[in-house]
Amino acid sequence: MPSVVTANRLTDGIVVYLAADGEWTEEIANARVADDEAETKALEAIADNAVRERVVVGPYPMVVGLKDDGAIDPLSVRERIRAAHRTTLTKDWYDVPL
Amino acid sequence: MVLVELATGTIVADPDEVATVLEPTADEAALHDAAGGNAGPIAIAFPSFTDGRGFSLARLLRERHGFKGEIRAVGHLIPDHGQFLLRSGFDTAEITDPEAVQVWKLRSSASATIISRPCAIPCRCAGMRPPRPRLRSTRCLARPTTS
Amino acid sequence: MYRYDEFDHAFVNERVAEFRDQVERRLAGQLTEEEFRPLRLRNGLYLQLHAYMLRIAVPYGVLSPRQLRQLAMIGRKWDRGYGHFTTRQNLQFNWVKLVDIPDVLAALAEVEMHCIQTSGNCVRNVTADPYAAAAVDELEDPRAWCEILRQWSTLHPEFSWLPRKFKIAISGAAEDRAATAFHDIGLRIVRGPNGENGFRVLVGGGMGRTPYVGQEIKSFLPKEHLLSYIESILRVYNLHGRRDNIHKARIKILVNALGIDKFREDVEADWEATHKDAIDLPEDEKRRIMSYFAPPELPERPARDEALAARRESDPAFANWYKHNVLPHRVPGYASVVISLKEPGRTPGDASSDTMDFVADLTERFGHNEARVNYTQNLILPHVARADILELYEALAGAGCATGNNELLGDMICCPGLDYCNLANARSIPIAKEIAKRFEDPARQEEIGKLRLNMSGCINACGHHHSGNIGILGVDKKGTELYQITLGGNPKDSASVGTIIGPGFRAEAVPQAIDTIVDTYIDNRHEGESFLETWRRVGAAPFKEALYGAR
Ligand code: HEM
Ligand code: SF4
Repeated sequence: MPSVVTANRLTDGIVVYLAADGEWTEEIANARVADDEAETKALEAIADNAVRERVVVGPYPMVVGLKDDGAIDPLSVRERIRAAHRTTLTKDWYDVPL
Repeated sequence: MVLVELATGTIVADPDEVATVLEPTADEAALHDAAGGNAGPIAIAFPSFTDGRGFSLARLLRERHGFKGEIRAVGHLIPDHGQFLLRSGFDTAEITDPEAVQVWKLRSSASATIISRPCAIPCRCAGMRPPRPRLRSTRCLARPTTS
Repeated sequence: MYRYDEFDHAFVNERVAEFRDQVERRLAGQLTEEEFRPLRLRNGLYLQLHAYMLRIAVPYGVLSPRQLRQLAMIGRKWDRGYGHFTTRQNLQFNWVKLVDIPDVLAALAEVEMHCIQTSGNCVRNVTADPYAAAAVDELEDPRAWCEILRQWSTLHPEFSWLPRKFKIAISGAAEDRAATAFHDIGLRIVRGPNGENGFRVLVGGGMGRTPYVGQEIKSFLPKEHLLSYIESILRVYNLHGRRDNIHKARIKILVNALGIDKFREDVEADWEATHKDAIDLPEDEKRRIMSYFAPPELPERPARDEALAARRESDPAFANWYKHNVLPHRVPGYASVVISLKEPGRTPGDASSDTMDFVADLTERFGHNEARVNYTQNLILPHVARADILELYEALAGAGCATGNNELLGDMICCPGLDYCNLANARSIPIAKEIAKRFEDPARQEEIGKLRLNMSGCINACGHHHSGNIGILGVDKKGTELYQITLGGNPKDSASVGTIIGPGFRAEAVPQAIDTIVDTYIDNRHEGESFLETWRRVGAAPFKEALYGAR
């Protein structure tokens, strides 16, 4: 099952994903997708190292969907909200544009 | 394993042998027996650093059972416990990592304001502090009131 | 209002410096997340879904204009320009950066505020009746006692590592406006046998996955023994509360496992053995703290205002607001005014920095420099001259804060839910908004009358759904958000926990379900009957029938 690894950045807590280049990105679109368990384990190992390096906190792998055009679908409501970096309160007076 | 003196954050060079070990489940009878023994050090066990039962036991030993000897904290302890231990009646804490003594010392000095909060109750430490009544939780409970 | 003395200042500043050091050590790698977590939690800092969240203590819900402005400034400078008032009368910021927290704490210390013990297994912020020193039915101001408890519980040597968190609420009035029955300890100030005030003590109330209404452990506790008696309750809890299972660790579980009589026996035995005078507060210290809470000097103002009466005649919107959001004051010529944070379309309990600044101005112009936070997530100006009410209303209306729905259906309590909260199972705010939209018409809310609707995004029940006349709980059913409805909860006197009425609803069906419940109530109620009275009389059957049809 396709998976990506996500976490929160240590310094500001913002949601991030492990990207193809080994960096951490705020855009789920740039996340590196692992196709099988072995690959996921490899991503997790990179993430564990990033925890030791004090880049991120609380990393975990999550199963994602892949759309026809290859776009990553976070699947659950929770992960969709995290990926959007905002609340779902679109009509709010203070809402922050995406 | 080293023994820290809580008030100073220094290592006790030649610790006394513990006379009684109290588990957190110790009841009144166990406290009574321990306090009435030969007054050698009483060790109170902390199975986990979040388990705060030992704080109550130490305070009961001091205030209810009049125990004047050394009370020692043993088990899973962290430096952040230091000031709470001191103020609820402990004298010493046994720690596994001698390196950590520095942090324990830092923690007890960082809380200097807390334990220096003045109070008006007459005691041996009264002369060192401006006499003004304060709420007692911030008072040292290192020694019970003699009243 | 309480003012810090040199000790308080030194202590809070020391804590800021200490946390600055801890953050630096975390960033430098000297502390791991496991080691840092308990330290940050003791300073009210959580890591939530999107970012760090900082919970700021608002002791017993009292705010000065200076504090409001500082909170507004913090919101602008270090957050996204708004904060969220919670059911524990606290304020939460949702988007602060870890690296900025020490500066935020320093800014809070400047205005005598902090985040100490807003998290962790210790005695939390003590909450109180938000109409203290203003309500007509008040026997005694609870705030001085809250402050005494705050000082006593802050870094308490014995009770800082309890089995679980511990919440205390105090009401000094005839009506319970602090939900005291849903706290670990609930205190009601009552008149004793000799005409002296004392405390009626409730213990073991709480929400969460096993909700309980608090039970009476002492019908009358002489006031001077408050600290020693509470210490005995806490000691029995600290020694015997469960530590093996986080879901069974609150005092309510212990009280109900032992039974209130056995629990009382244990507490009384401990209390008997206590040197009470070594713990209870000396009289002069008590008087010193009381003196901070002297009611403000309220100059004489006319008790009747003709312009007010005329406006109520001519302006239905004003009349509606006046009816619900203006409450009687013990001093003739004055009133308490509720500033609603529940305008339809807004997130219940959220306030922008602009609103905080605006309320700060209002407290200075009309409110004798004091604002209060209600646990129902509104703000209150406790002391307003009736002659100033029209002008105040104009100002509020101009800022979208004149929604006249206090204690009505639109005055929903709502937790942050899945839009912010890491523990959430479902969203709560969007549902609250949909319901607010459905019942937007003031005439409809008027027809329904007083009704407490509370919603939580998970079983932790921060949104008090158990005590709502109507309660909504978000659950996760195989990846879909589902909403369970409970009926018959009551946070006030004769408190009760709501009962689940049947299978849950999908998000889009919730507003219609609420509508159906409300219609069933209206169809069944006798003249003048509240929702709760009707519910207690007719039981679940008509509501089940209306919601799920005959089965
Ligand atoms: C709020 C009131 C009090 C404060 C702030 C306070 C503070 C302190 C402090 C800071 C210490 C030194 C701990 C150390 O570093 O060794 C101390 C020690 C002590 N206190 Fe208190 N104390 C208070 C009340 C009392 C009372 C009421 C008694 C008993 C009547 C008492 C008896 C003692 C004793 C016997 C010591 C040990 C002194 C020694 O062995 O050198 N204290 N106190
Ligand atoms: S009730 Fe649940 S979802 Fe709501 S704020 Fe509390 S923990 Fe979060």
